[in-house]
Amino acid sequence: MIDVAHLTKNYGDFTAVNDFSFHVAAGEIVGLIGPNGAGKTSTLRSIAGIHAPTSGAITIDGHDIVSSPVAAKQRLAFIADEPQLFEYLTVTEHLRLIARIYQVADMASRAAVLLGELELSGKEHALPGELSRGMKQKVAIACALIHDPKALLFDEPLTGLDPLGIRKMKQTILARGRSGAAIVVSSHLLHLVEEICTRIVIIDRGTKVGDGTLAELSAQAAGAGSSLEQIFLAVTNRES
Amino acid sequence: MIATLASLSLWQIKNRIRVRIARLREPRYLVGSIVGIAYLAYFAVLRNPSFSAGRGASAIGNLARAAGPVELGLAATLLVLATLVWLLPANPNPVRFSASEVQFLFPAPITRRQLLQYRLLRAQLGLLFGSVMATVFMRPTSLANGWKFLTGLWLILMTCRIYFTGVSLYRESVRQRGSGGMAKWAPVIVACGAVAIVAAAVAASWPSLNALNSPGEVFEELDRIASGGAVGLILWPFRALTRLPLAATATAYWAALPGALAVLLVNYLWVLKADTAFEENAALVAEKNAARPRARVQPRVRAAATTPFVLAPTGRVETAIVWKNLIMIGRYASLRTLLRLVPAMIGVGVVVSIVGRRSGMAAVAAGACLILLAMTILIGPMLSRNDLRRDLANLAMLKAWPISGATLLRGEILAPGVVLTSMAWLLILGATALVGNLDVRAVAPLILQRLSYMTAALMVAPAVILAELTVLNGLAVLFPAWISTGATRSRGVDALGQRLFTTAGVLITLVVALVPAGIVAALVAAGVYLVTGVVPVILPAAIVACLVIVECIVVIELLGRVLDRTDVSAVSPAE
Repeated sequence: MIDVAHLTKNYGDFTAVNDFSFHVAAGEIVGLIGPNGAGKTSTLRSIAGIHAPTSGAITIDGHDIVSSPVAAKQRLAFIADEPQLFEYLTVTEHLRLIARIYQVADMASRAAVLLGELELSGKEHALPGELSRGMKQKVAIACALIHDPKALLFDEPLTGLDPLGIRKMKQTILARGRSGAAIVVSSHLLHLVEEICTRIVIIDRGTKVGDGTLAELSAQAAGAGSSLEQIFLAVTNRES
Repeated sequence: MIATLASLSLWQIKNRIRVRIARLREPRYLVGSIVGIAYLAYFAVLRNPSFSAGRGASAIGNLARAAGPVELGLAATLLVLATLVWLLPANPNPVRFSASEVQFLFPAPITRRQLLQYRLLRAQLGLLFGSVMATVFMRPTSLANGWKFLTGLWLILMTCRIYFTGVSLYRESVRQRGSGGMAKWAPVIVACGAVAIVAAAVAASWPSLNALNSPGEVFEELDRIASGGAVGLILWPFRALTRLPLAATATAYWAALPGALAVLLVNYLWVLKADTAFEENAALVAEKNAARPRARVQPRVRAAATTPFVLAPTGRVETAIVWKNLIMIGRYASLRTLLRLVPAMIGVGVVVSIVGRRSGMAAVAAGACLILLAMTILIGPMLSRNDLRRDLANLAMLKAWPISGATLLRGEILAPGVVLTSMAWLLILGATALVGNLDVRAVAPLILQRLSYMTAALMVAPAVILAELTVLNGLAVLFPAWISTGATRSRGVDALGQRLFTTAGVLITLVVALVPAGIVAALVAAGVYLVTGVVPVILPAAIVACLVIVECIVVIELLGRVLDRTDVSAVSPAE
């Protein structure tokens, strides 16, 4: 579903992502982890078509993000770490706008379900300025899910959420995975990745340093330990 | 502690200058700085009579020649402003702090008074910069002229700033204490009473003022009224301030300085005496601003109102973007926005009233319509930023949408296009209905003539607006780093240069876009005239409109391809 092949992303002289490849199949939830500045957000933004890859290819459900961006993005949703909302649109208006952009004919019924699922009922006419950060994050997620995307990219999805919101978010991600969506979750919260992801990709200084299930990674990093934290510190050479 | 806070201000100033010098390595800042400095040098040197052998005129010199009336007029204006600030809605956040200041200074062992002193100190740099710019544009003929005006203006701005802060702190204090009655209304009554006394004195002398023949005599009479009794007492603090920058000689300046400093000191002590808890509001605002650093001057969004139309879930995506941007206009339009239009309205009003003395009211109203029409068509697209220029701040989100760059651009350009075209059409219809005096004997040909001009204007106006919006949005696509993203306005000499550069670019490109259509239309019109002997109006207008719209469609398509390839990382914050 999501194919990243030899992705390289440079910003001027700086290489943020270097020859990075991975694949996410339908129904798979892949955790993308790495230290600060490892290239996680650059990778996700390249997959989402926000940043143009310097080289390499990215396809979503067979559609190249560079040569067929509209078809690729139609199947994709990107939830940024910082919720990006229009200050002047209410919650419902955001959903209405995004539904029109993705041509969602049954917007009203889907919106009602999402607002309930994300506990946004009663906030339909609120402007972003009247919402807490966690609520804004939920609005951004509702907008991302309104067109029932086949591929989902989450960049630090739990930031700003309360314990109940975190629980709901995990349930939402798992439910989308079960319904066949290919999901990438980028997070520093290793326990979250360990809990919900079926496979983990570790990136460091723009290069892939690990890829596999927790058991496979544990085997690769022999002697490091069985927890993701121990494996992460070992493969990124940050044990000391 | 004040010394430490003063050092903090100095470090901030030093580092800001260092950053500004360092960023000259980027072409946009270097070119902007060169253009900005050249522009300032033009005013300071080439337009200054002392450097250019009488090629320009010194505005300070002109002011000095009318120092008396100007001093009195400015003093009266300051009195009105000082009163208005009690009447207008109160500012709940009179003392602004940055998020880092809130984080480090608020929990520190610093008194509220020291925080206030620090903020007033910090504000001086901006006021001094503004005074320097004003002095440059006033073109002083000598250094002595220059520093007298500069320091005098700075002192006025400083006093105004402190006074406005004091008023806001007092009103916030009254609000926090829940006080009503005298505490709330006494200052309003005193301020309004002062204005009323001055107005009554002028009104009482109105017959004698009306009988005077020359402006000099009128001023002398007004000066007499304003110099004695209660009026003299009321205006004294304001005249003490306005006298300073207008002082003709150094002796006059030094004589006026103690009075002005006394007014400043009284205001300063009054503000320091205030014990209003401003920290909570300041922290809330700082937190909000830090969350959206690119939109520091974002106007407050009004509560959700009705939408312009119901957006169906399917259909053309451009409509959705127009819908979004039309909502934006409705939600951002506020009393503050309208107040910003006041100077333009006053300008139009003055022009109209001058015209109105010579003709009837209908012609005056028609003239106002035509002036506003010209402003709508030529300046409107530059001022209305409810298009890609504002949405560049959200480019990361827009780039993730499954739409082509051309689709996005069409939607973005159409929104301000619809609003400005509607305004232009209304003004054209108004001007057509009002212009000239209808002569019953010649009603039919006159109406026909008017209708043809009106139809031509109705066709050309949207085309010109569309062309200008295309150029402005094209600049945002081609040179995103040059555009102030979101609602942010960058400041400084380089920003001044960037704006001059882009404005010149817009005007040149607009002319280039309109010339081919104009030539074709002129040729067709000439052909029709040669054959029929009639000068056509509607046909050339239709040709201009069609060709310009076709040009715009093609250009938008090409710009859309560039936008498709634009990397969001190319759009860096303006500051």
